[in-house]
Amino acid sequence: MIKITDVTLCSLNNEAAQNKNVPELYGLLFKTGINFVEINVPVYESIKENVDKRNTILRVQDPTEIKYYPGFSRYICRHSGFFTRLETISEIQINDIREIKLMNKFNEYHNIRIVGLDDLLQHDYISAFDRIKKINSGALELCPQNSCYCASALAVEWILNGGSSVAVSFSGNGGFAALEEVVMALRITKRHKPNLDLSVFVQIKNLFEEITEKKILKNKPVIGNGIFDVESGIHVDGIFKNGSNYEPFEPSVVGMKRKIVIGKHSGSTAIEMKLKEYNINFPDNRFSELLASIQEECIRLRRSITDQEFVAFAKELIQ
Amino acid sequence: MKEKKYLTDTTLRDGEQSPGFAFNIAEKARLAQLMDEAGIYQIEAGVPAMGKHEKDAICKIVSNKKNARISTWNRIIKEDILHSFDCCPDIIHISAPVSYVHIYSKLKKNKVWLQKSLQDCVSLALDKGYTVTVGMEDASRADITFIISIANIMKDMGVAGIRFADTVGVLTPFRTYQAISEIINNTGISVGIHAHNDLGMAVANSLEAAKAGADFIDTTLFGIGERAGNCDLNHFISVADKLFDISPGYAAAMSLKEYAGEILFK
Repeated sequence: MIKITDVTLCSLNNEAAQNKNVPELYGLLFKTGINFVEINVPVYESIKENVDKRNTILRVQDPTEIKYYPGFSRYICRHSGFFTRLETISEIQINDIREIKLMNKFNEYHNIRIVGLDDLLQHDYISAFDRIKKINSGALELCPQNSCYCASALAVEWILNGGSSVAVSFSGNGGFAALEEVVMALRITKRHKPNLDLSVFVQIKNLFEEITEKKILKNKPVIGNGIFDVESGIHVDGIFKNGSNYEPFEPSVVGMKRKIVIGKHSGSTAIEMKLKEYNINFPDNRFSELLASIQEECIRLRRSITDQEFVAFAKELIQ
Repeated sequence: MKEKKYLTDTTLRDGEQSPGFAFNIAEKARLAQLMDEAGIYQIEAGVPAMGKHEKDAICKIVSNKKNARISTWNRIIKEDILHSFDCCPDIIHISAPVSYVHIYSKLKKNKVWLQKSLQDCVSLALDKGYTVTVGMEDASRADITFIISIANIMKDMGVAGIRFADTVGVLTPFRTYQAISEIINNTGISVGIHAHNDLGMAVANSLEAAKAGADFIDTTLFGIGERAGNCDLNHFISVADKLFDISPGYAAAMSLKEYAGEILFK
């Protein structure tokens, strides 16, 4: 069984962690189909009433703290040499492939999270996965870090190659694999669909931006505001015939809508669609003139044009 | 000794197709010049069939170039190839949709039509003395035996290489490795990878393709491109530099990013 733990709330800075919207974010994360949300003690203290301990992992500084916070499904603690109970995950940092051998020291631990291994894709990562599993036959969770821009790929490959647990964070906050990328990749490659409706990503994104005061890039995979904007003639024409021609998944799956943008690369299909959308009766014999004028205008402006600009432009040409 | 790999930068084609970007001739020429100076092997300069402005920009890039090879992007339409002739590029790249969803649902044609149209366009460009590469559009959702069959025909015709395009960005690293290996093992043709970042795996997939034997890697500056973009040039260099002999090196790529950023985001 695939188990995904979200560590977003542990990756927030102190100020963000105390934001009034954190309880709502905590609740929404479960709707993405993940199994556990991990929180730390300060977050727990501030959202106590909202916490469902059955599917929440509490991060503690050292195992002696656990007795003050009973009832959680599991606890996680950076490995410090202390003995840990069975329900406690020992988190160990394995920075790169050369350090895998260090795992031999943790043979006796049955519940381990490996953090790091950023560079694994630069090597034979499948053999490395096998080595890791051979060294430790207990419950292993991988939390790849992203300094080599491959964390989401590694988390997915870990699952596809027989691993069962990964730890991720929304938008990869804190330098981890991105929750939304891993969830979507497993949905596409493994038909892992614990939650058919992923439109909750939009709410999570809005909350996350408010809490962290960070703007998600418009081309961020799965959640970026602009990923379903389409301008080029070939793509608009293809999508008009069948969305799946140029989209990996339906925009509605992640709560978004496709948007035809008029720009330098627009073709006749896009122009026709926009004219129809705004009920503009444009003479057929001046169509290529409109297309050429739009291209010139976009080059002059160095950008695509807005729908309002397009309407004004078309109406001006008619007059 | 590290294995040699070559970058094909498509900022000026796939990158610019991303809504919000619209370069003028001077900007396209300057960006190409910066890439050339940085040591990019191949610059995909644009789509001549778009019209006079695009053709003027490509002609300027061709006349300014020092070391880079300049390529143009074409559909499997003869008129597109004729437009490319007007620009005198080093390489004519012809893109052929190879997945059934693209052949039957987008083009509303069939495999026989596709093969014949592609052969006609390739012959047209080869007969004129051009180096030709062929893009396998939507290859990640296509039947691998069909890709291999087309690749073998292309190789026999004298095509310099094929490009495996993950058009909708659904590949994972292992699947990328498998597909690229299978094509190389069954054809011996030179292969390039064109990755999209829809699942955040463009860098990982490009790296795996290179490990599997792909010689050419498509990138864009800042990873711009359709939807979630393409393989980010700087990100790729930062992870591939250790494994492969690749140009530009890390420092030159960072410098290119800095200067290009002033044009892309001014």
